[in-house]
Amino acid sequence: MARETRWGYEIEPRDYALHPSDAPGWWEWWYFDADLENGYTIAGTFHFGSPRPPANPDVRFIEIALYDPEDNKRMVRKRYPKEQCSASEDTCKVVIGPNVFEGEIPRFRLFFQEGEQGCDLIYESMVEGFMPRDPTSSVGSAVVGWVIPTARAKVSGTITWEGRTMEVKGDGYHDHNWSDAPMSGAGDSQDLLALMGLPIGDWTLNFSGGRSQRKQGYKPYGVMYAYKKEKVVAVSEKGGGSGSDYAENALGIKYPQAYKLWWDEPGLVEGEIRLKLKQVIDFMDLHRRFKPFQRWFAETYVGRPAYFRYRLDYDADITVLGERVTGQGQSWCEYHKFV
Amino acid sequence: MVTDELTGKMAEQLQVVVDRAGEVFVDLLEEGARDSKISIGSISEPDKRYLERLFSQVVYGQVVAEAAAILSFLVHAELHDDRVVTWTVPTFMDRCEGRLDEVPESMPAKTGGLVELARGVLDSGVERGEVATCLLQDIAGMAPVRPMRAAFDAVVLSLLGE
Repeated sequence: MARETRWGYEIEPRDYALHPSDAPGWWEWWYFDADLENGYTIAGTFHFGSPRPPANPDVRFIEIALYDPEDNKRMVRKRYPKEQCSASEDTCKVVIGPNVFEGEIPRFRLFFQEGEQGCDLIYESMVEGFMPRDPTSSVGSAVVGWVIPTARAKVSGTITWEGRTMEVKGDGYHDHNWSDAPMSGAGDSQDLLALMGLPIGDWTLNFSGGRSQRKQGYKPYGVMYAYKKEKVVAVSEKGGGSGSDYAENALGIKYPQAYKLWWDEPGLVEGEIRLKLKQVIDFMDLHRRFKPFQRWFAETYVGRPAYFRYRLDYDADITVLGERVTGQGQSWCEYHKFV
Repeated sequence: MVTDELTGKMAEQLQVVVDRAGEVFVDLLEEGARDSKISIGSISEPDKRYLERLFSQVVYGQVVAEAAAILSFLVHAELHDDRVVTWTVPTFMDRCEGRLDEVPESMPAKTGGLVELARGVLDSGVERGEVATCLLQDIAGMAPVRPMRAAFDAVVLSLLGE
């Protein structure tokens, strides 16, 4: 059983293994990413169940994007029969067809091969595993469990791009979510920008923020998990996030080109991180699997939910436990638009 | 057996209910303003008539067809009587719309693309049940569009998984 600490929980292998449920809306995913020194990026998930409406707890699939240094993308999205998939309830060992994600802190292995794309990567964590105290409850009609086996890892191994296999190394991140209902506008959140595992010197910052929906008064919310060297040393939930300079894509979906996140918990975490979008490298219309009239209903009465992945410039100026943490550079983030 | 006369009378009853709800809402707004719970100053009698009209627009434009569709879907699921969703309530929607002095502004925007959407779905050739086909044909054949009926049909279609 996970041991409670001042900031959350230390975790054991069972905490990042499968969390089975009979709920008709159940889903679970193991997420991983890596920025590699040769300019390639990988980001993806192993899925049990569908995290997006319509609910489907029986589906099993991988969804992995590879980007080259010019941000050309190769997306692998493939379903496998349930009988070819398995996940342990005792440890992290997820098998989806020939693809495997497995390991225990501090070491994980990611293997996937589909067509001309693939990877065989080892993640060696540089920070402790961690589970936040309160599950996220604002992104759907059920709470979303969250555990972060590694917010910062040294990554090494190979990736295969268009049939060409390359030795690579870089930095990566892995976390794991589960819930009894798909993510949707049924929660309280209007949007959520998440930047996972931003390394600044000895610090690793794992943060997200956004606003609540109109019926909750567009209240800002923001959370920061700050690691110094290998330990979580501060957690603040007194933050906010707000987008600006909105653009509209070809489907008429608006998204912010600038985002500000802030924390205001003196003595713990204070300050701002400003982000400026450079390029959208991924986009998903979350209604794309809806039938025509279901889609009409959702767009007429709910909104236009979407998922974006951005390359961005960041400018961080925060103070954690009285120590100033500043940095500027490039990174990338996820932006979830729930309505 | 539901008759034209009955649907007409029911549309009249619904209007009575909505008008009364509008008065209640506006009286509550006035009380809220008087008690400084909302800062909108005093509300004159002409203001109150305007607000009642807005309320009626919103209820007819955003609630009646949708609530009718949801309830009809439930009744249909219970009684398995297709006429509830293919004739009785759509006809009632026409009678309700016929009583309105003006079509609520939100309705054309909401329903404007439905004819094309329905035609596209019918043209896809996918096999579907009788109720869905009937509702799709109802929308596809509407000229001009009758917004309350179209919205009703569309909501039922979405509930049917179309």
